[in-house]
Amino acid sequence: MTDCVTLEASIGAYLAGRLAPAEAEAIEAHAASCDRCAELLEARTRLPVALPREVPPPTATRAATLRRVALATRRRRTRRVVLPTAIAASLLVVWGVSRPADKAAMMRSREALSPLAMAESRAFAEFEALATARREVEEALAEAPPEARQRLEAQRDRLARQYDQLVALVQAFES
Amino acid sequence: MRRPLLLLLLLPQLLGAQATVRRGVAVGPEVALRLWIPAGEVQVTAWDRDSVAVEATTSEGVQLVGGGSRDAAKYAVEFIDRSRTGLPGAKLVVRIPRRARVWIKSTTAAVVVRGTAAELDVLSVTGRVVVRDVTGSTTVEAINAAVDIGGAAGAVRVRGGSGPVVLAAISGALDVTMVSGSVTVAPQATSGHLPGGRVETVGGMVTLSGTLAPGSTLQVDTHDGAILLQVPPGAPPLVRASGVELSLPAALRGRTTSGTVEVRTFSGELNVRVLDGT
Repeated sequence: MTDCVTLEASIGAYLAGRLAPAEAEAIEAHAASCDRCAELLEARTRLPVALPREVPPPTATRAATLRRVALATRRRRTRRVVLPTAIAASLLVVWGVSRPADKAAMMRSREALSPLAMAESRAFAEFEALATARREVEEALAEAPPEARQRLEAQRDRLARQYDQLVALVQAFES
Repeated sequence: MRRPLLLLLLLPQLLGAQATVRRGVAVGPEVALRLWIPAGEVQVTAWDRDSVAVEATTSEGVQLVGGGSRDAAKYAVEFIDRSRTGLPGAKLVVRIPRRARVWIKSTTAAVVVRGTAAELDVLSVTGRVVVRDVTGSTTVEAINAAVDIGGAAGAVRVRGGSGPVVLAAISGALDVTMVSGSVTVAPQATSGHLPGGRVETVGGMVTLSGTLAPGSTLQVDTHDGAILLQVPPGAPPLVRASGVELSLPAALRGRTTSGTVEVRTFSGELNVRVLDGT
């Protein structure tokens, strides 16, 4: 479990991409639930982060939120940090919805907002699949004999590259 | 008498009023053309004229904007009221010089391109992409869209998430990366050869039918996606596998003068079949 102290201590390594996947995910999960740490992360990257943190609120507030999101999405984003953080936060919001029908409805309701929202929604399952695959490879690496390590490391690197490519593809619909 | 006349007058409103506009601009033969169509359909066909012609059929509240010059042209479909959210849709029929460099961005719009001879780039979220008979390099990036490329003489690059990818008669180098989407590669009709290059998926199934030209290599990498090789008995490719047990039918064992298929997978299943059903 990551707290504010751990995030502050790890933020440099996180932004440089030196954390293990599980550690990076813990940082992002904490930032999604802590306003102070989200602002700190945002300040360090000098870019805004639009994190949907709640089940959609009433219409007036939602409209205001959407305007802030639209403004935020026009600015440049750090590929490695900001978009994955927003997607991770979206995953947390959707995972928090228990019924599959509600989850699907939430994702679909966001799709109508913009091409970027639809791109994020449709890439959701693919990011989950990539994360699952990476976990499996990391687990295998932890127990792999020396002769298998090179092949598994190449597999891990390939999955990381695919993740970055998918992030870039989603980001292409930002404008 | 009045009721049918009234219905006739109201028909456009009942159906959703549509308008068709035609735009054109004289351009150079290698013009850089950008098309942005969120929803609907766009058909792009190459012709042997130095001009771009666009016919757009739009719904009420949607407009076609854009224009161009000799070296660059751009057309976009957007809401007249820019504050509207959602995806403005239209049907675009576009004619372009054969050597035009084309960039198309779609959200849900279906994209069909025929006959281009220079770079083609297509981005799509869910809009189906069909490319036929192109000779320039082709790049398609689609998050959740079906991709169908048939007859491509240049390099073909496909990136995406889900949505089946079907490739046929590709003679240029192949570079395909999908997450859960399946990839099917069929050979050229004349040579029967598959292209060399690389196909990667995470969980998507990869199906290859054919053999490779001598000296050519096709790499297939999956995480847990299944791989099916359907090869001819007369000139099977050399198959090398890593991470999975390789069991070759008797008809495929022994020397071969064809190219090589290299398969690497974390936990996917590999099957090799001879095309005559053995």
